[in-house]
Amino acid sequence: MTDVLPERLSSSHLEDLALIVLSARTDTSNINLYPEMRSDVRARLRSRLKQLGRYNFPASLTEDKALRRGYTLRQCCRLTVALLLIDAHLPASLAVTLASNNELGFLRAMADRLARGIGIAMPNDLVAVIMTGELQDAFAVPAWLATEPARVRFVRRDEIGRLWTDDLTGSGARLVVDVATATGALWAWISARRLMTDLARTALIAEIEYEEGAGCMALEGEKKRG
Amino acid sequence: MQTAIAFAFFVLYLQRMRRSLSSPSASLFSQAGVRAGEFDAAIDDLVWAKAPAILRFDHPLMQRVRDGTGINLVQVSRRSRNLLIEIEQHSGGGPSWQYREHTPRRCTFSCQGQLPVTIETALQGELLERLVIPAAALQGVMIAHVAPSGDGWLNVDVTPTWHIF
Repeated sequence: MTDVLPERLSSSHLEDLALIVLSARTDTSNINLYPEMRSDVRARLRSRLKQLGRYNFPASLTEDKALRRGYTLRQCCRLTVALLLIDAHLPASLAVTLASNNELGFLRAMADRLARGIGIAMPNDLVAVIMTGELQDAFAVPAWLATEPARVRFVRRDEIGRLWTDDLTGSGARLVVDVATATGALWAWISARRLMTDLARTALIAEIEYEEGAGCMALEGEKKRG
Repeated sequence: MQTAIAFAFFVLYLQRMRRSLSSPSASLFSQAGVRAGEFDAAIDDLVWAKAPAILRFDHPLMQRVRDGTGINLVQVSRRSRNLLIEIEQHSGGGPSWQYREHTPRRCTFSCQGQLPVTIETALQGELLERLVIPAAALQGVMIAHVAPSGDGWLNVDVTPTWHIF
């Protein structure tokens, strides 16, 4: 048996992908398969993709020789996270660091949604909660920072009301990013146009299920704070 | 002598700059009454505006082809002087068949269905019309390889013929 090559999304669809995930709605039933954009909107999305490309995100040609053929579903998911973070006005360098350091956590939240298929948003969808406080280490070091240096947490959608409870530390601002809804819209669009088959989805879910490692890591890999 | 050499290079240059078109796109464009040169000129406009050489779904020319033929042409792109088309035909709730030209040598047709392995092998080198009826737009396309995709669809690698226009 020959190895099955992963299916790839042609790079000509990336601007459409960006628009689909950034304008995702919780109800994916009437998604516009061929989004119409003015040329300046398309140019803005293209420049954003180019900006990510300069950070070798979602992958570089040295990491993935077949990148010219297109993007795998995993790379599309990575790209989705970075696009959402940039859309929340985070600088691209921070967005890329956050997305790549916490890749597994984000991908688990997305695979969780992919496993349930398309449809409306569920109360147990995971949303990412990012604690972005730039000057956080200047204040009293909270207890969680000593025990677990993660800056990104994942909470269920129905628990969003408890964002300032003890387990998510008591103070500071939070950025809530709904990766599950974006994933739902992404897969609804891909499957309705059959840009990838259902096998790509099941393969990604299986791949993430068996991937080891913590879902979250420190925001800045080697640099330990405090 | 020098003039002759310069002329020969000029002719070669013109030859190199000729665009080519696959047989399905040629028949599709002629059915819709659109010349391939119009697509080429529209793509030239995009290139001048520093945009990728891809005509998207919402372009007026694509709309004319869809209205004229009833075939859901979604994309025409130009790569290395070849006009490459993508068709995604939908019926009822979902996609029914698709035809994508990735490069001149890598074109795929996919549709719903199952075939016994023996027949899959026997279909190699036949025309695509032998396998599927609805491909009125896809004439003159040879089957190179048939393989099931694993989810009830058939992936057919096809080799259309390419013409210079």
